[in-house]
Amino acid sequence: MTTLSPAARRVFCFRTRLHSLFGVLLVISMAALPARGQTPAASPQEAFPSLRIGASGGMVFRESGMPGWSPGADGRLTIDTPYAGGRLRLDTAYRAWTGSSEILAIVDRDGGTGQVSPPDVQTIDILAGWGLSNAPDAPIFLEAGLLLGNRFMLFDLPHGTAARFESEMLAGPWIRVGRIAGPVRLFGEVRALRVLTNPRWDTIGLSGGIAVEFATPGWIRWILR
Amino acid sequence: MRHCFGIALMSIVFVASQVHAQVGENAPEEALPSWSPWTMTASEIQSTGAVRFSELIRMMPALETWSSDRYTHRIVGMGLGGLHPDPIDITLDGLSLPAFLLDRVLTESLPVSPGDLDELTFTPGLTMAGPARKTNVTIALRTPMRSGWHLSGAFAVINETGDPGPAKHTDARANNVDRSGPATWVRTGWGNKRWMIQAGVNTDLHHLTDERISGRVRGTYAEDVQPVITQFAPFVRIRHEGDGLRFQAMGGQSRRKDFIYHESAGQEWPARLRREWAASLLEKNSSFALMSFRADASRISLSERPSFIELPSPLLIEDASVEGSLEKRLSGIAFRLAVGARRWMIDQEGKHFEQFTPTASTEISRTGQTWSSKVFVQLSRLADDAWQPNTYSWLANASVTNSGVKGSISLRLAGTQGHFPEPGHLMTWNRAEVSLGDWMPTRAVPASSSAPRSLEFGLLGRRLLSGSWHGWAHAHIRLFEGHTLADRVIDQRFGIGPLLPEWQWSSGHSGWLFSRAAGIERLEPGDITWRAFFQFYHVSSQGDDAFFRHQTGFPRHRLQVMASDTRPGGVRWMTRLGYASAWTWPEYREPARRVIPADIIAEITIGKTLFSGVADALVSVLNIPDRPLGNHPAGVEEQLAIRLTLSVAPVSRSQDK
Repeated sequence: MTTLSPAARRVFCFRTRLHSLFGVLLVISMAALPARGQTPAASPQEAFPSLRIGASGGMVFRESGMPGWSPGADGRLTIDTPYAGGRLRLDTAYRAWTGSSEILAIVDRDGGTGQVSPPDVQTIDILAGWGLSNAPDAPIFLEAGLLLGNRFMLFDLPHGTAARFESEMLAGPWIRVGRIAGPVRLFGEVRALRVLTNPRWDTIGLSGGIAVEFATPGWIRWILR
Repeated sequence: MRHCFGIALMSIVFVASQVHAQVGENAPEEALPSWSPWTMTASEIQSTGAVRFSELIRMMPALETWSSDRYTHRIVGMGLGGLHPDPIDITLDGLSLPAFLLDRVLTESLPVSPGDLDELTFTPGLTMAGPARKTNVTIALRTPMRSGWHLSGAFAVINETGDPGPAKHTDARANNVDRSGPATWVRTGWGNKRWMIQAGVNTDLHHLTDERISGRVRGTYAEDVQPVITQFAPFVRIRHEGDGLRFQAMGGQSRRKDFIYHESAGQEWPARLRREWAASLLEKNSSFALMSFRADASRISLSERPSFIELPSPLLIEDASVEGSLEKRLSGIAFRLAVGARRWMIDQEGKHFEQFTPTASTEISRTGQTWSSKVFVQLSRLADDAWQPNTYSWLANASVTNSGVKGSISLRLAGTQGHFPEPGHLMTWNRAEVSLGDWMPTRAVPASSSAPRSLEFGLLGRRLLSGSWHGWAHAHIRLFEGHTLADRVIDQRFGIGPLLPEWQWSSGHSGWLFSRAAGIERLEPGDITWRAFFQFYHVSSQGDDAFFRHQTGFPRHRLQVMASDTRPGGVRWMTRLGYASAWTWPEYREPARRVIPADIIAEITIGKTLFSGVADALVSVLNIPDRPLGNHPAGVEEQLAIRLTLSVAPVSRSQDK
């Protein structure tokens, strides 16, 4: 029988919890979807009737995969519009990660060991996705969906250094809940993202912000159509 | 054995002639609809989301390809070519565009992108036809005649998962497996369905960070920046399709920063590759005969990049060929006579080597309502070769096809015999005594007492099963005798880094290969296109160890299913599922010699037309099983990847012919 060291067991348990949380978020996302018959059929005249632009700030409260870095606060910008019975969403987020100040031991290809201080890294996520929302005229709104995109990473290294820039795919579910006051919405959001690096890089973040909804300008509607 | 080849070939030619005599008298002169199981239609091509021509070649079911940088492919047709890839003849609307360098097909330098194509067809056949550049193995590309002004282009990025991300700064063992773009192409021009002019450019960018090659690249490339392959390939083209006159001319340039890999070197050659090329075709159909004239020329210059090793001195390679032909139809039988010549030259710091090859060929063909047949014979003479003056080679093939409402059957026999390999082949470089520096020691080519011979027999049948479903079967056997091969043993003790093969040229090798395939397909316009096939191989070296080690890398059993569709609302999708059996590379000693596990292929592409048909956005998920796929011990490994493609075409293809 394989026995795990306490440190390994903590990592294992943390990852198991993280995976469970992903599952819970996914189930909640699915549960938030209205039944097929409840979705109002969108006629061609109603396509892309409005745009919603939101700005928010957030923080990571669970992270695994990259123990050498500490996440800072992030800033997000979101644009979404009704589409295909739900909402089409484009999302971008910026976050700075601070490299660990402690010197880490590393293992190189030949099995030798060395020491390194990991560089700071700035990440920009560009995501697109789709989600469902409850009745649009309710005072409290609940939305859930999935996002897929790319994380661009810029390491704090001199120009010309090999691998100063990296990018990797990421995906995950999100849930947003908030209060509607006319065209303005105040909201909070939980988002779980998995970056498909090796090792996997998982984060669960909380954010809060404000969004404004307005009629889609004609030229934007033409482009969207 | 030589006599057997000759007798067998003459027998088939005789049989084919008899078929002509039996069916030729009253048969109407209607062209039979062409069909091949190895075709991709415009709808299928557009549904793939591919932006690079090489991505399409990788998906062709009858081709086995591998690449050390993903975008420059060794191509082997039907698994019958062994480790030496075929000098495949790529034709664009009937015009041959040779682009072969050191066993690689320079697909990225061709004026072709998937967005250009109406159809892509691979025809398997015999290779090693020598410097006359007439092979039976072709990839034929067909593009539409444009109407009005047109402007189109595409952009794609591919991200492969499994990159360590920040973790690479704390674990030096972590390998970076990203691949990236952008790969782009742009076309603009004008046409009126009879005339068309076009200008275009293809560009590409790729980071060489794959685990299998990064160690080798770092061992030779002496710059502290990420090793990147860049490609820039502009071209211009003019085309005319009129009554009785057909004309095409095109030319272009391709500039590439590259890392050239060859098995006999075992490491990358950091090089700048510059290729200028031009090709033209003129066909005039007069009351007397169909006259045609074809010419092409290309020049490749290879120069150095920063390196830790002594690289080959700058090289200049020139290749040019011309051919004129007359085709006359008498009593329903078409007779074609052609004469041509090819000049190939390689120069290294004033040291000059040249081959000149005049060629004559004849073709007799008959196309009827149910029967069609063709006999082709070509004779080439290699002149001005210091090693083998006045050497002759021949290439011949004969085919008979019977087509009916419910199906068709086709028999084909081909043979070739000649002393000399394709000039782009490493053997010719070695004959020219090109110094390749520390990249690869030059090996003397042994004088061969007898010319190598190859004979091939193929049988292809197709039958309507029910509705719009067709079934097909294909058998393909190839015999080799007296071939000169690279007898290599690769001792890769350290896992990562230069492979440093021990090798020499070795002549007189024989054996045979047998490929069988069966498939079904459904090609109903407006409905889902289905293609499925199973292919399996047999290799017999008859105790010839060098032949066995040379040929065993590729033959493996393959099962593949492809489906694609374009819905009326502009949604298009394609999926490809496949399995290729496990195999080993016997050239590699332990521990590098390993059983390469079976490939499980699963890919999905889905896209949507945007802006009233002006643009397409497609998302492809490649290698869904997320397991390392490898076609070669020295080639790239693939992980789960997503490709995002955006293509724009302000002029609808429906206006094209």
